[in-house]
Amino acid sequence: MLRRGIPTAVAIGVGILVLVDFFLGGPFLEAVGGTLVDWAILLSVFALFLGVASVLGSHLRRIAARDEGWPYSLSLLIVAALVLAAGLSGPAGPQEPLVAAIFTYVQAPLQASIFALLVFYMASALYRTFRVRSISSLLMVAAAIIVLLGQLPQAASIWEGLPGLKDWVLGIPATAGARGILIGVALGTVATGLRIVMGIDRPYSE
Amino acid sequence: MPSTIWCPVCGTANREGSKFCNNCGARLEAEEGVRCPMCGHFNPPELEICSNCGARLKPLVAPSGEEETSEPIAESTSEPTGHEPELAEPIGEEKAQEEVAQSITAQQPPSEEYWIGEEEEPPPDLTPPEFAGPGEEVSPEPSPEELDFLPVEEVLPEEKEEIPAGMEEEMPAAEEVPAGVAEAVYPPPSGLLATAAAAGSEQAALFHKIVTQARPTPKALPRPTPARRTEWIIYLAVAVAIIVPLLSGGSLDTGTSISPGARSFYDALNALPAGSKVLIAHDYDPTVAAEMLPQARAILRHLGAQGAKVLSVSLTPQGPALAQQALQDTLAVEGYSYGVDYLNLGYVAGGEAGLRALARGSFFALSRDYLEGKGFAWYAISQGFSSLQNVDLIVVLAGSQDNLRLWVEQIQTPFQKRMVAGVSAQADPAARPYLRSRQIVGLLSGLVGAAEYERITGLPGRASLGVAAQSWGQAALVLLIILGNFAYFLGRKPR
Repeated sequence: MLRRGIPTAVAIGVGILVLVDFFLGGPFLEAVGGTLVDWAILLSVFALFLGVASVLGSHLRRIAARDEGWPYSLSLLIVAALVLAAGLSGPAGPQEPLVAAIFTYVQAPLQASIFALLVFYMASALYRTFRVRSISSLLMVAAAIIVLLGQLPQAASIWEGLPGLKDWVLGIPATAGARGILIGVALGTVATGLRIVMGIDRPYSE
Repeated sequence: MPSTIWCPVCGTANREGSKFCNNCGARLEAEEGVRCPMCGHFNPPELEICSNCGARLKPLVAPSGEEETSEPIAESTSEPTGHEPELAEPIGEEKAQEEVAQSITAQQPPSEEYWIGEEEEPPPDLTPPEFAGPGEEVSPEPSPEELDFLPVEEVLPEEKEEIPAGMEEEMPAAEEVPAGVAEAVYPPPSGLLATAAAAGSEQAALFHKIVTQARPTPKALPRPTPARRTEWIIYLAVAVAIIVPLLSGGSLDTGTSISPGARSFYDALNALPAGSKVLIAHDYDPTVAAEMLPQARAILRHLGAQGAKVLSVSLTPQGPALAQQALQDTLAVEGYSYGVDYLNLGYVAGGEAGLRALARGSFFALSRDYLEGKGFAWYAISQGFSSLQNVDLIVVLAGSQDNLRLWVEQIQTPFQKRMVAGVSAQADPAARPYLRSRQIVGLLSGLVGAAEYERITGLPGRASLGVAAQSWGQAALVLLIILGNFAYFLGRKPR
């Protein structure tokens, strides 16, 4: 009973306090709400440590069990240890020359390269599947061509109305869809928040 | 007068449709179809699987004659072909066979198997027959009692011969079944059952071989050359379209059109008086840095020209390092002083909570700068930056829509701060609602937005070069869409 009741009571109390602080304010509520928000930041940083420990533990288990691909886990642990040692080797932390070099010459190019590969897969997919099979697919293909061509600096030389048409596609139909998604996300967030504040959902004790 | 059904046992008249005799309880329905060897349930002839217990009613029949090869058999046992129910049955049969084997070994007839229960005494010949391969002739003509056990198809002489005949060429069987395995799984029975079991041993050996047969090493399939060739042509075309403009170093004329969002972005920054305090958030990582860094550089150059005081933060862990690159490339080379004119305050941990702390000012009180690790108050720029209320403009450079949403929800709306945003092209659609609602007063989108901003400010940078390569890449994509549809319509069969 206590095991479930105390976390639920804490969650409901904190949720209501921060909510009231957000809408009403006042010196006392701001002090309490601000302290709770600062605690949330500390908890999020601690969660980062837990996440690192979880990843390292998971890969250690894979190595111990000689699971498939365990050399990759070993390389992950070695790299993690090296970067951590490099960061702790001096007072500058992330500005240590070795850490900065690893970021600039290894991490950043790798991340950018992986993302850049998408263009080739997109190109292949466009050729193979972006077909006019129905009225809806015709609209989709037309919108894609308008936006792709309308983004070109020379769009106006292709057709004078193309930049305006592109702006219309992005500004009216696309924005309407995006707005619907945002409203849906907002309603979902409100519903989830209410369920947690009312103790219906207890993700912290499950 | 309703028709009646006469009981075949006691002769009582029963109503039509009755399943059992009202007098003696005998079954009235005609027992037609295939009887399950496992549970005794009668199934329609077309069924291969017992509808009651799932056991196979018909033996696995290999293709006969010269057409038979081992490959199709291996495929049918190892790879889903869209006939999963057929693949699942051998497992059920295997289990059932194991159960039968165990019951025979223990000589404990299950109560429901009447054909075992009838075996009061063993027949004179107690010598169990040796395990026989499919090619050997071991089975005498089954007795009438055994007909209940064996599937209907199994006792038909011609089919019984067909299976070994078909399999003989491909599988010599007796040698190929692992030694001892067959005896362990199907121990030699005795008595009358020995006859029945011997009759089914061929099937058992065949079945066992099929289910235990090692999956053949897949041969290297010949590449579908036309499709692969097309794919490589596509990759090559896109690579050429992007790389050649980059290597040639020529920048495309960015035209005359400036988007309304970029124009209002410029107006918002251009209206700042000298000494204005600007908070700029570098919320992106290296995946979109090719779009976001040119934006950041163009904006920082403009802010430097305006004489603004710039404070940099980031909601992403990699953001501070990228922000430092942009600051070094612009304000630092222009002679602005770190800590006096600009400062990199690094990572804002905690997402929403972190932004709330920033809004209340506790972030400024506690944070240390990214470059030197000193407290915020140590730097001259901290004068007048005690809280968000002192900030004249917030510039959010968001690689993803979520980061922009956090700033709008936690900072702009509650505190009504003036905000502009630069986003990656993928986040553009989600950012536009905020522009239309005036929650952000300016919007730059992707590399094109950066190039537009360079052109508005008259301070050319690398975005114009990048946008040339991007434009050729986009043109290639449009061409691919048109070619793909052209090929599609050409290849379509006329109705």
